[in-house]
Amino acid sequence: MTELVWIVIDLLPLGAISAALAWGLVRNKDSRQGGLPAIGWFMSIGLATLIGLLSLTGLPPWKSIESKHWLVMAVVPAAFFVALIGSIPKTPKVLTWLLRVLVAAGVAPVLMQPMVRYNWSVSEAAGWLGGLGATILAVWILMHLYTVRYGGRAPLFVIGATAAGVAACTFASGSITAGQLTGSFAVVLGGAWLATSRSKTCTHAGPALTDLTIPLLLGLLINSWAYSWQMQHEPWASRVVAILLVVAPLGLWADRLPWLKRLSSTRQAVLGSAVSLSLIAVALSIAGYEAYLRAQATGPSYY
Amino acid sequence: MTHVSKYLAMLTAVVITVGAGGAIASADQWKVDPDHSAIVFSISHLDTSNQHGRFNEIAGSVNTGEQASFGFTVQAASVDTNNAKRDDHLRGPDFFNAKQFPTITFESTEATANEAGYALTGNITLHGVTNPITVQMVKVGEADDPWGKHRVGFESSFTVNRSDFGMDNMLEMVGDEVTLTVSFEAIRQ
Repeated sequence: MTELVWIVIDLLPLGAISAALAWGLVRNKDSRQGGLPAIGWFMSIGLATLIGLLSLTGLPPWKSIESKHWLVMAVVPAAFFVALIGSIPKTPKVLTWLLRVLVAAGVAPVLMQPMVRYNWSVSEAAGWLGGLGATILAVWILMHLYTVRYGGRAPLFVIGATAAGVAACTFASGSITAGQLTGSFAVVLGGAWLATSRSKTCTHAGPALTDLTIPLLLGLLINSWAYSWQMQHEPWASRVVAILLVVAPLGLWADRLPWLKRLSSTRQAVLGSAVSLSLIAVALSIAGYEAYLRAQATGPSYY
Repeated sequence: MTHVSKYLAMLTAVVITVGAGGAIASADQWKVDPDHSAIVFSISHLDTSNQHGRFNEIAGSVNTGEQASFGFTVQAASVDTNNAKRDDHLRGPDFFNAKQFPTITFESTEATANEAGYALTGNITLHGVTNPITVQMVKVGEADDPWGKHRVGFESSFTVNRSDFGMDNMLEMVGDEVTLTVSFEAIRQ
């Protein structure tokens, strides 16, 4: 446990970097018209994320590139590019959506190369890659629609909380390094969320946020699920945990239920966030139960 | 001798020649017997003791002819340290990352016979990283088994630094230097 506390403490400077960048780039600016403040918001998160991931993975060793390196080399730049294009005023929507579809379809094939090469038949690979691509796109569309209508504050919070949930499940399920990767992303989002709590930009620059964070969040989740999680006592556990974490950000939509319309927007956001947090809590409980069973079988300490 | 007899004689000669040739070629070819082979490793734990483990799935082939060669493939996921949770952790991305790098291989590039066995130079690929290595492969013995198969046995011990292969996590707790012992029997093909 002490080790885990220090790992979290090690990640905190990233949150500070993210917060400083976000505060410096977007404070007191209104981004109703898009443009620079919106770009500043996601750039602060993107730069801090890149710093965090690179500090953990190092530069890619060209002799043995792992999926974590593909995250840094391919997924981060691709998501960053989509967010950038989407933030430029008067960019044709068709172009932005085409890029979103391409990135959504490309994340899984890039990260799952070893599974395709060593573990899956052609039909399995087609099914998994198609399914994962469709899932990423569906989550992306729904989160985009939410942020366009209702702003980016609550999405930033739940995406950060989901990243923290993925990190915690990964720590509990077998990998420190993969947990650190997602943990760094969670800390970055948390820092940006805190730093921009009073900025109007956060209300209006949501789409760029989802363009950057959804592919990254789901890429990190895929990376952890495919290569790290060791939940073997219950065969369904890892898939159920993954599904819960995929849909967790979408819990925000619960605040749009018709009978909640009379609530203030703040209360609606709190309610939606609570639904997301509940889904994350269920996922954490299953991962924790699996870790408990493994500890019972082999003892808690084996290092 | 009739034409038919001539052809039969020629055919017999060809068959004998090819058969003999095949026998000569296969006398140098050996296949590793996984049931009588082991790759065992030991590594420092907290600078307090040496912990031992092994790999349970090994395959390989040996050529003891003029163009001598040794080649092995080990399934990284078969790592076994007598603790299931630790083995899971070792298979994951913090160590072997077995789903992304499922095999550990050794291919000799040069094998020189000497009194003890063979001096091998080759490439070991672990965790996706290939590094050159030189080892002495000691011939332990050679014998026929009760089922009529001819066997040869070799053994070698050497060290590698896991950080040279990009496996550099938890170096403060688990040592860098890994001592490997490769011990195997091979059956003549």
